[in-house]
Amino acid sequence: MDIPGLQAEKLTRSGERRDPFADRTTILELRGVTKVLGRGKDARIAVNEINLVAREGEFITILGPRGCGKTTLLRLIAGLDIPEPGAIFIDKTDYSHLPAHRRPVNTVFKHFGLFPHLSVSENVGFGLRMKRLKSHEIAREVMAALQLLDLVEVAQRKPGQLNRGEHQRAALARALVCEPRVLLLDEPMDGLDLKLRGELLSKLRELQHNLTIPFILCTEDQEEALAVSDTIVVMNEGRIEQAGPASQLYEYPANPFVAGFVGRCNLIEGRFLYREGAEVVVETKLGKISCSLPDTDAEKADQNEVSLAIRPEKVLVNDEESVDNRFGGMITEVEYLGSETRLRIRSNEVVVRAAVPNPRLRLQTWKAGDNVFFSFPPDNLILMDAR
Amino acid sequence: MKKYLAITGPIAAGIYCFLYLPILVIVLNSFNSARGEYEWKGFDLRWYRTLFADEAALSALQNSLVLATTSAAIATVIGTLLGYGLNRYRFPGKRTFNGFLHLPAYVPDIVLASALLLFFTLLRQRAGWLAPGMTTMILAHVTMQIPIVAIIVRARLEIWGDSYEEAAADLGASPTKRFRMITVPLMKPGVIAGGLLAFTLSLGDFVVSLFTAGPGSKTVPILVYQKIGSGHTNDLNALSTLIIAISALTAIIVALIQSSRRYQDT
Repeated sequence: MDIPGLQAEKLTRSGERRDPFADRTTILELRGVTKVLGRGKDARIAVNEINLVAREGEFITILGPRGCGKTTLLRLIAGLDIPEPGAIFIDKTDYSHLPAHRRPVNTVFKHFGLFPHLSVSENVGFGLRMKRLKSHEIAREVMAALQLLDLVEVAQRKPGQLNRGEHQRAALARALVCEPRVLLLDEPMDGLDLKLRGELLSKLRELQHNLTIPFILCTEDQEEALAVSDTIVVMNEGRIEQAGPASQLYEYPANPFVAGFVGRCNLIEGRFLYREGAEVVVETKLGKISCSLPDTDAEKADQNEVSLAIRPEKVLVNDEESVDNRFGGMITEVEYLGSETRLRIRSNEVVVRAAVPNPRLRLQTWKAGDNVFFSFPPDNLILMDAR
Repeated sequence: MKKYLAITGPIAAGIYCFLYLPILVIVLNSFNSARGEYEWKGFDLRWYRTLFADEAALSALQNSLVLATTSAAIATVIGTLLGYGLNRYRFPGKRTFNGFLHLPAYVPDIVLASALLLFFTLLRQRAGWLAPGMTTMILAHVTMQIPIVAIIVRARLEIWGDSYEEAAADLGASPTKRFRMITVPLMKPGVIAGGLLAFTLSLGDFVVSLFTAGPGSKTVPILVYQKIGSGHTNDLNALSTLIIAISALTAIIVALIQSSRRYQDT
């Protein structure tokens, strides 16, 4: 049996992804980049041996909780901090020890980016002045950038007179006008309302489409990451937990942290019992759960303590046709969200979250206290090391 | 809010009266044509005419202004450098140094003044330097003004940390350009405010001036003190009013700078 789709699926699942950027030129490369912040007793490893490549036109999102090291990583790329040890290459040139003002990288900072004593157009032209461009060239480039980001009307204002959205667009214009080789965005959506977020995201996507440089955005907000990125890098405690396209991270999270951080996920802890071909059986509080694995995951199954992960929308509730991994439980919470209904089902001290699509022309019939049965389709379960 | 206004309103009014009524009396009396008594006998500028004809008063005013301007200028330069250094650099003993910066604010004027007097006397006796006069006064005033300027400049720099310098570095500005194009303009309001405060501090200082003054360097506060002893007060009211006007003007400029929209951030 040689079904191409299946083969690809298995490859993806084993971590070898189909990479749409494989033939693009590498622009930024980080090798073993490490940074210790603080001194003496307060010292902690903020960034721990990070390897990362960003290629032409790639939109990378670094996703992670507060304090995971993502901002420090951006600072290292920008040159505001120097890695020790580790190397940073831009266009194959080693920039590891060059300071920020000598790197072809620009940043959209999270806070206080715009100089308060300069007008918007002076702010946008600052980088060009530093490059010693002639004043008429600066004026032309600045005007083009202001038009691109819809800032012409506020060009003469001081940053203190701008609203939040204008502020962020001006910061973006100021960075882009310098034509960086890599654009860094440090939580640019922070503090924007939903509508402005959406506008800025689509603007970013559009800009990035027209430029060939990589964008590296860091954020705590996974929806933001899923919406725009080609590649998502999940960071935690200074390390990369997993990197890949959104769909890979969502469907095949490498570990419980990624499963919990990208999207919503049920994690069920258990003990590995035995394996029969592609079938692995795990003992959990719910009972025995069997899970089908592609053979490439063999080494993982040898672990004693394991976690099973399943996305809420993949849990089947009261589905008569399912036979495997079927358990009874009681609904403890119902959230009606229009397109779907979210349920919390308690069974043997385990709370399982399920998201059930709401069928056409029928009102939801779930209510708290109902006894239901639910099942986990074996090929939708992901087996991972417990941590 | 309204409920408390009934109590806090009168208290505030009382405090303001206590602070400003004596000053108001002096200002009004400087325009009073009555001589030597506190009874209103009509608006008159005669005390100002007397004042401007009085050599000693004019020379005191000139001394005060020269002293305040020179010492404030010197203290502003040194204090700014100190404030910048304390904000931006790490060095051993920085914490202790930072603590001692506030010391002159707690040390009574008389202690500082007598210490400086002893110091200058010692220098004069041992090395023959620094006869009491304008030079010793300027040095003494600079000593007390430096911490004021440094504290204000440091506070100004602490508002943003180095985030603007980092943004400038990111945009390709070298350290010298960052200092010139970002740090200096952002620091400027603090420097001006610190300088003007140093100026008013010097203008109104009595104790330190008295201890370090020489024969030809009498300032307005010293003159006022001596004249009060001899009983003439009418033209002193005029002189005090002038000093109050200069100080008030300076204070207003400081307030305007500090609330200026131009330097405010979102």
